[in-house]
Amino acid sequence: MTPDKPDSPARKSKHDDTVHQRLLTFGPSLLLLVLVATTAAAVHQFASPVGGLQLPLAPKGDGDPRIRMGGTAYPRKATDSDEVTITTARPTHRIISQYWSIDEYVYTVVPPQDVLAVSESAYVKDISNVTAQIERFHPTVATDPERVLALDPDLMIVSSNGRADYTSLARSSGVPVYRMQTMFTTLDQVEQNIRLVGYITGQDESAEREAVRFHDAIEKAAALRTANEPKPRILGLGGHYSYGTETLFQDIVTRLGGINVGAENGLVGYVSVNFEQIIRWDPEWIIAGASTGQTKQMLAKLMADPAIALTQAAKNGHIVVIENRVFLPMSPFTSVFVQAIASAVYGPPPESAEVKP
Amino acid sequence: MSVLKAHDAVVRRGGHTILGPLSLEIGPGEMTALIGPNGSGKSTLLRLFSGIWKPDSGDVFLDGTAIGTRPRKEIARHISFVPQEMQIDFSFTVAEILAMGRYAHRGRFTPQSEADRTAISLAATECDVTHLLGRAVNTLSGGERQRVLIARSLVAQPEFILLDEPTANLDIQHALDILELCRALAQKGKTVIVATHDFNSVTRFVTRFVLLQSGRLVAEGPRDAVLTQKAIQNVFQVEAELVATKAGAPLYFFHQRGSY
Amino acid sequence: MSAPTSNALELNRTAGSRLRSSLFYAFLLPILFLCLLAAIGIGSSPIAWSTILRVIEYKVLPHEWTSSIQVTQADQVIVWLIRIPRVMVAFFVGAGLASAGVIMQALFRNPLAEPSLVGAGGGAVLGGVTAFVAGWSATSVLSLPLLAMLGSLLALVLVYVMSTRGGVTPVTTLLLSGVAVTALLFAISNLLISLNIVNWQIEQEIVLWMMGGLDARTWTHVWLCAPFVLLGLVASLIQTRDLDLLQLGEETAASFGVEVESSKRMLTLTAAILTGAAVAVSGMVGFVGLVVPHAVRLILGPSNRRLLPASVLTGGAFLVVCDLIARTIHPPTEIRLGIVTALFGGPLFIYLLLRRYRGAVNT
Repeated sequence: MTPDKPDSPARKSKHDDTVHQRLLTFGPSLLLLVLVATTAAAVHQFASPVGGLQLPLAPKGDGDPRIRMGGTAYPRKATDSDEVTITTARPTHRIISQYWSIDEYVYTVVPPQDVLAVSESAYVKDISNVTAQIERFHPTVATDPERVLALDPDLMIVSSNGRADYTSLARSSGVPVYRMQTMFTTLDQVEQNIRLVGYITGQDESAEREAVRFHDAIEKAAALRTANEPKPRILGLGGHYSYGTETLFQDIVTRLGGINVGAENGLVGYVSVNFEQIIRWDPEWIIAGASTGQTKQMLAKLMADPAIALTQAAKNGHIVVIENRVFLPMSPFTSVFVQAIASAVYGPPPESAEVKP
Repeated sequence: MSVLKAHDAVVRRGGHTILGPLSLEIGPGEMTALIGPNGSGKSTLLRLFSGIWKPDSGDVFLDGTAIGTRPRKEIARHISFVPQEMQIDFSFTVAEILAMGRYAHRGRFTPQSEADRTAISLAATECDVTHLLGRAVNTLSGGERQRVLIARSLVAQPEFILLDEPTANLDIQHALDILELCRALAQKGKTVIVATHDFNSVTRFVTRFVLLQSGRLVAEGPRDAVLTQKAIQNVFQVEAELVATKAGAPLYFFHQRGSY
Repeated sequence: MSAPTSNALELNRTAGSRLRSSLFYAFLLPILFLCLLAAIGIGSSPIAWSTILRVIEYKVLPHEWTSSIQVTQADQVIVWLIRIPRVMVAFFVGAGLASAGVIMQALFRNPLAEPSLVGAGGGAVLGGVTAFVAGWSATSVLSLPLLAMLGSLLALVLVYVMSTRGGVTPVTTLLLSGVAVTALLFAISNLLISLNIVNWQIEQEIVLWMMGGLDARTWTHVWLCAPFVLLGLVASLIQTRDLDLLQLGEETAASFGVEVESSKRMLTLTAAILTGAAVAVSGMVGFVGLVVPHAVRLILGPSNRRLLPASVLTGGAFLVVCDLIARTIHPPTEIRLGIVTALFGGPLFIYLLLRRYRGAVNT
């Protein structure tokens, strides 16, 4: 007995098979994506960290501190880089700083004993400008949230580009957490930021004094240039990177009446440079950084580089090596950097200067 | 449920047709041997019959319904496949291995039932592995392992038992035991299909031979109809001298072509 | 013909193996409990147990009952917002990774397989690195875990599509595709990292994240990983019998009724969910999925029905302990979790390997 000739059920089932297989391959994954999205929405709704699920803010290339401060009467309100407004009820005296440049702001504005915790970098002698205060007061290192919260702080200042987890945890603790912009591109912003730190800590007078000192230091440095002196062409060199427009270096050089060779050649931001490009650009001055105590060695190394050696800067002995900790610290210590450049370029006879802040 | 039928089945691999078109029907209660040289398609056909592989065209029917259209579990209740060997890195006990054979009869969450235990017990007795139940399977000898594999396939209480080269790695005594067991099962009403390249070993156990060459069916039927001198010469490229034995079935003794 | 009823010999379990099971849990459960207690009680700032209990009461009991309890804000935050979520995340991550390891070892029929073999790890890392370099990790707590999870799922889909032909996914091809895709995704991650080397703070965070760690875990992370880990665990438990049969060979499994291809799909997906959820909240933590199932198998045997729950609990306990060590062994610095698990898991793994091969030589 022969069965009816099969109406190719095998073939039909094979076609169904392929569709079926594809569905089985992608179906569960699609379902899972939906599940992930639903969970995210649910978490956002019910378990959202303080500060919320922030959409990424537009990249702030201009480093504008976006300072929005309220009036000087307490309680004070200030809005940070996450668009979160913190309220301080009174001047703060138990301050946590979580980032190296914030350490420097804080130590120049508030009494040092008010700083309870600092970033790890503050303890690294090679890059820290606040070693003296650290050694005297031994603040806690702010990496461990448990320790930090055990100190019972009344203000935490964290950086705008650190991980959100830390900030979110800090915010849920009830302590005012100010997320501060740290990548500044103009000296005015640095100055404004000094005042901001004074505002949120309640140390307005001290901050004003520091801001004025900073301002005057910059003015004095700029004044070293005589009126009709030709504008020096200055190249900044941080390792194999240089500075174009939209950097603090650009603003410094412009203020000092110079020309930023990086910007002159179309660089934007902090970008890597080829030493061959440097030959073409042929800067008159090169400002480079080095580790503490290594400035002479760095100078020798640069002079020995065949590309650098061809530049005017090398030939005229116009290479300035500055210690890393004051090389664009983005904090009030920037004034030291500015003064170092100014005195090297305009001041005493051109000699690669070591800087002691 | 007792008739397995392949109808114009074709299997292709890597662009080549390795089997087919082939039509074959195997009925209830027989012990059939699929024989042929290496590459003749014995293992492929066996896998087609067991539902492990699907034909690229044509069909395999179990009692009139195509195997490909039924869920695997259902097929597993009727057809069991015993592989050539079990290579295993994990130390399951024999009892655990046998219990796995009940997969097709259990739901996802049902605990072991009385029926399961009975089936395992019966199968273990049948294959004489009861004394091995507590042993780890990777400590057994080849013969013991093969008996465990057959026991496992019995546990599912199928009508069809398909064995792929069951005696290939066994020494002589165990090989005989296994084949005796297979014959006993066939006599009890199960349909046993054995794929083997050594047809000599099965001649006295098997009632029906299926001779394959290069994926095509050359001949099928009782021994004397299939294993003719001419067939052996064409398919196996040797000449056979038949030697009478006490078992009734002749022994095929081989000579190179032209020398006998 | 009568069959021996073998009631004396329980056909699935010998008396010995039941005893071993009971002993195992008799040891494991109290140890797990103690580990959890220790992890909550020990931290970088000393907190008395009475305070911890008071905080838990305060948070868990309804308000009317707790009016008289005095707990400082700092204590509350430390116990309820820092330590407890962190310990819970550690447990779930360990449980998830161990469970994924069990699945992988069964699927690939090799006791030396581990969760990241099907590309889930590489995908999660790429997702995480993307979150970092795009700046989203700085603005939102959810971006990093979500992108990591999405990355691991997409990697799995890619691996699966690459290795499937005609609805069949041979396991060796799956493995090779997984290795290839992982290598590719890591290369892309490294590219992203190198292009952004300028942002040294982000680079630092990426490197630290990739070494694994549970710093600053909050309840958000618990809610993010727990549902997926639990989902994965339930899915695994449902499929233990399929796992057993697949371990014996795909043809064997098919002949006994397992829908092999769909089973493999479900299992790899489950493993990817578990691994993805774990990496999303903890970064790359290795060795848990490799060593825990292997060690538990030596004690309890290979049957996945016993192996899976035991590995889940052991993996959870193991990671809770590793995390405790990571944060207390060298204060104030926290050692990265991945380093601690490697320091424990590595030698343990070598020991297990030697034992295996010495055993193989002897037989």
